[in-house]
Amino acid sequence: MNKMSRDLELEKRIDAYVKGKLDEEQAMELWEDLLERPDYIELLETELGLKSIFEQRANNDNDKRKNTSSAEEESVIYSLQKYWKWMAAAAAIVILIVSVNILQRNTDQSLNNLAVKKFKLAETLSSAKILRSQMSRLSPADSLLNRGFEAALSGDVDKALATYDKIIDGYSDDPAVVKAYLNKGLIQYNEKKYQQSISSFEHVLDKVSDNNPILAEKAYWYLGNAYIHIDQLKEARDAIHNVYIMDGIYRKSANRVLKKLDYKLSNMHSDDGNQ
Amino acid sequence: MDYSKLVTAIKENDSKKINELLVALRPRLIAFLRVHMNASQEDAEDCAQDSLMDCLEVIKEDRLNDPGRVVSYILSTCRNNYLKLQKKHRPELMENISENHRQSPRQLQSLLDEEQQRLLEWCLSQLKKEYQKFMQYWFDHPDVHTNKVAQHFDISVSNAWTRKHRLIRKLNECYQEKSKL
Repeated sequence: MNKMSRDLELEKRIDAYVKGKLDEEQAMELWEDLLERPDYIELLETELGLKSIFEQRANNDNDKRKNTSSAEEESVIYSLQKYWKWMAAAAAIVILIVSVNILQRNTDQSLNNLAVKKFKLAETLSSAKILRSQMSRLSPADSLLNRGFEAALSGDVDKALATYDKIIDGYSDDPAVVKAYLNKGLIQYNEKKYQQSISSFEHVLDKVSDNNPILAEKAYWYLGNAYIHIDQLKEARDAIHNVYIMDGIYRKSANRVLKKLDYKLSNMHSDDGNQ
Repeated sequence: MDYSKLVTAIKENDSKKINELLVALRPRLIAFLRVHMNASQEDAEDCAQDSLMDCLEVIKEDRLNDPGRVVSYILSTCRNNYLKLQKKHRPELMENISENHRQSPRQLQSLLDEEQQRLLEWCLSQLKKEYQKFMQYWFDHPDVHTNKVAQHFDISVSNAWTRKHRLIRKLNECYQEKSKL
């Protein structure tokens, strides 16, 4: 592509197409020209990929803005609580007892809150690799993976699960089966079927190859979260600890959860000792 | 690719040339089906193959009215075959399907897995800040005329188009290179 000859008119039409400004007839005319310029088809795909990255960033920024405003609200509430505590300092002994109770309760609550309630499927589901090389072919299992992805995003989770089962049953040696288990586990997790999701994530860990640490890290992370939901904290800790030592994208979150889990587990042990 | 050569090769029964042209054409049709028609990879492959076979038949039997419009014919055949396939699989969606195709081309987001998106984002982050801002501005303001973009970055309109083209090419090259690693 080093000596690609430019066609400015075509570029302008591609730009309009990416922005959704061409009607069907114009779009078909554009594609007629693109069939003669496969180099521009590749650029079109890159342009669409970029567009989606910027759109995603814009969405994330919006989410952050929403979170910031709710954090500000919380901060006002927190200030009031703090002020109230000072006002109540006169009743020191009573407050001490109340505070200990509150602290204990907060730790329990925050532990429950530690586990992710639901994973955003659009961000977490794995799909097949997109084929940038025009000569490449997608395997049947990868095609099914994409179908499952589409079904899940359109809300048809039963169809998505059935598609993932098809991969698991029919293509047990295909690398796509690992992603199928992961996606199945995520859907089960979001459906609050934690025990089933644990089984799916464990399959991922059984089958994932050593050269795919990202997938393994994700599986441990989801697994740990699922164990927290069913209150199996020791297992949760083991899974989250694996995430932590893998030093990947979830390390910070894993560290935060580990501290809480360790606190809770040490309390449980001391309770056991007292009994 | 000169598509009139396809017509000639078919009429002359030059199977080597026909194969050569079909090998080049097939992935382009698959791209059309995936990007424009929102086809899954599997459907796109099947549909491109079937459509090419249909077209070969028509050309062979000399049923193509205007051989100069062979590209348009192949593309329309692909489109129609895909719509038929959809109708067969999901008749309930057929009323909306033509309407949907008048909208934006498929967003590759749903097809890009995290790793691939990460690669493209990494490539983007390797651009100079100034160029990253340029790309961001371009995509964040889809309704703004190129004059405005040029004005915003204090360059000519022609330079704005050139800059965009070069950056997309650079990102594409970076992505292709990293994908091979």
